[in-house]
Parts: sequence; structure tokens; C-alpha cells
Amino acid sequence: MTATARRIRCAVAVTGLLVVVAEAQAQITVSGSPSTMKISAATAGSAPLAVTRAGTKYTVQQPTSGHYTVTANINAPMPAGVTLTIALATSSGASSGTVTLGTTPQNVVTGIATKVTNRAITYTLNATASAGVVPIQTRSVTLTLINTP
Amino acid sequence: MKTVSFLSISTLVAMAAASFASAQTATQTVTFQVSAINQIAVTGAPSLVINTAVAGSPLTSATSAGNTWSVTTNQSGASITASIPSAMPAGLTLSANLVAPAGATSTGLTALGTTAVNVVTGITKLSAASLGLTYQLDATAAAGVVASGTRVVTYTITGGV
Repeated sequence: MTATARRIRCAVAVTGLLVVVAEAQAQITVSGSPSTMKISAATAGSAPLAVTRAGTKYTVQQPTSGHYTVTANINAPMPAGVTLTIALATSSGASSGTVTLGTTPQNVVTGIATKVTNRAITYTLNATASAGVVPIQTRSVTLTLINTP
Repeated sequence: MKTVSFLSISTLVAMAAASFASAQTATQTVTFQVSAINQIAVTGAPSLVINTAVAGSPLTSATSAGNTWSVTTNQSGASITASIPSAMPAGLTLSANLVAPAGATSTGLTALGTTAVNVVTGITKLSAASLGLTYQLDATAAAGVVASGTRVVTYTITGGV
């Protein structure tokens, strides 16, 4: 094999490798983080009023063969009496609807087969009266894209 | 030459793998808080008329049941006070009795005046609706005939921590 042939063969191998990698590449991105969610009102006799944020979006790029699932979880439990839910709209597959977030990942969208672009992420914060006053704090929400052939 | 090619391929694979791995998750930071919440509401528009007596006894009191009150607080040890904007005519007493929610204490039938007085104490982190609220009007014979009048009763939830 000549030197030129070896270069061509090497180039073909590299190209093939990159194609394989590119085919496996699907990613989920988000448009940012929601603004602060503050519960500060109630109707007398009822639980404090929930607060909703629906201003952020997510995109699933270049899904290829098989299907994809998006799971969601938070990095630490919510305070007692306080719940954070998430709902992802989707143009492919099925949304799980409103899902209460915990430290264990849960499906929020399943069966994604095609690109999903700029679909809404909706967060809702609920608190019972027994939760008391909760000082400002944060939770990191992780959305994970999983290939489910 | 072969060594260079090998390194190039390895580098590409590593870069691609890194890209693949980092693309699998996305994160958002959710910032939240719950402020102090104290809400009270009442229903009903009671009308109280004293127009009878048992001979030899004080005038028969008038009562108005069927009113309700509701409360939501996420604080501890809150109290409900009540007051009226102007004093009652001489010889007339307007009182209120609020049924306490679980864990709290009612002061029972309590005379109302222009100075706020406790009617329920020790309300802690709860929401309770449609609790009983009763008004009572008492008059002495010395009060005489009193023309129709109104008083706005103001309930305030205070003191929680």
C-alpha cells in the first residue's frame, strides 16, 4: 500500500468514525433558568397559592435511531410541605404531564423520535400552610436525555 | 506519520466522546421561597334586633349564627383580634364568638369595643375554612329604645412568628 493509499484509508476511517459519533450524538439544551418563585399569598381557608413559571424552553437536537426519554430530578429534597413540579411540552413522543420532582429521576417525556424545538418547561411551586416560612434557596434541576431503542 | 495519525484520531475520538457525554444532560436552577402568609375572611351580614323580654328579667339577647370565618397562616402563634370603629350606645353590648381552628383557643363570647381584643389565639400553620362565628347583642332596660345602627367589625390576624 502506497503512502497516498494509506492516507486515504486513514481519512476514510476517521470520517467513518466521526459519522458514527455524530449519529450517536443527541443532546438536550435549555434556554436558561426560571425566575425566582415566591409564594406570598393565600385565600383564607385554603392553602397558599401556587406559583408557576413557564418562561423557559428546551430543545432536543438530532435524535437519530431509536427513541429518547427525558428524565428530571433535583439535587436535594424540597423542604417539608413544599413541592416543585415540572411539565415539559413536546412535539414528539408523549409528555408525562405534571411530575413532582424528587432526587430520583422520573420520566417527563418519553418516545421522542424527532427533533423537539423550544418547547415549554413549566414549573409550579406549591406549599402547605404547615410548611411555614421558607427562606430563599435553590435546587438544581437536571434534565437527562436517555436513548431508549 | 502513523504516530501522528493515531494521535489525531485519538484526539478526535476523545473530543467527540466528551461532546457526546456532556450533551446528555441540561440543568436549570430553580430559586424559591415562601413568605409569611396571614389571611382571614368572614362571611355573613348579621342583623340583630332586641325586641322582647321576660317580665322581671333583662331584655332578651339577640344572636346571629350562621356566619363563618376562615383563616390561613403559615406562621406560629398567630392571634385574631376584633374591634369596632365607634363605641356602642350606652347600655348595648355587641359580642362575637369565633370557633377556634384545631390547636387554637377561642376567647369565647367577647364584647367588642374600639380597642382591639383577642378573640382567637394560638393559631399555628394551618388553613381552616367555614368556622363558626356568632354575634350577640345585649341591652339593658336602661338603654331605652335605640334607633337602628351599624358597626363594622374588623378582624385582624397578628402576632405570628
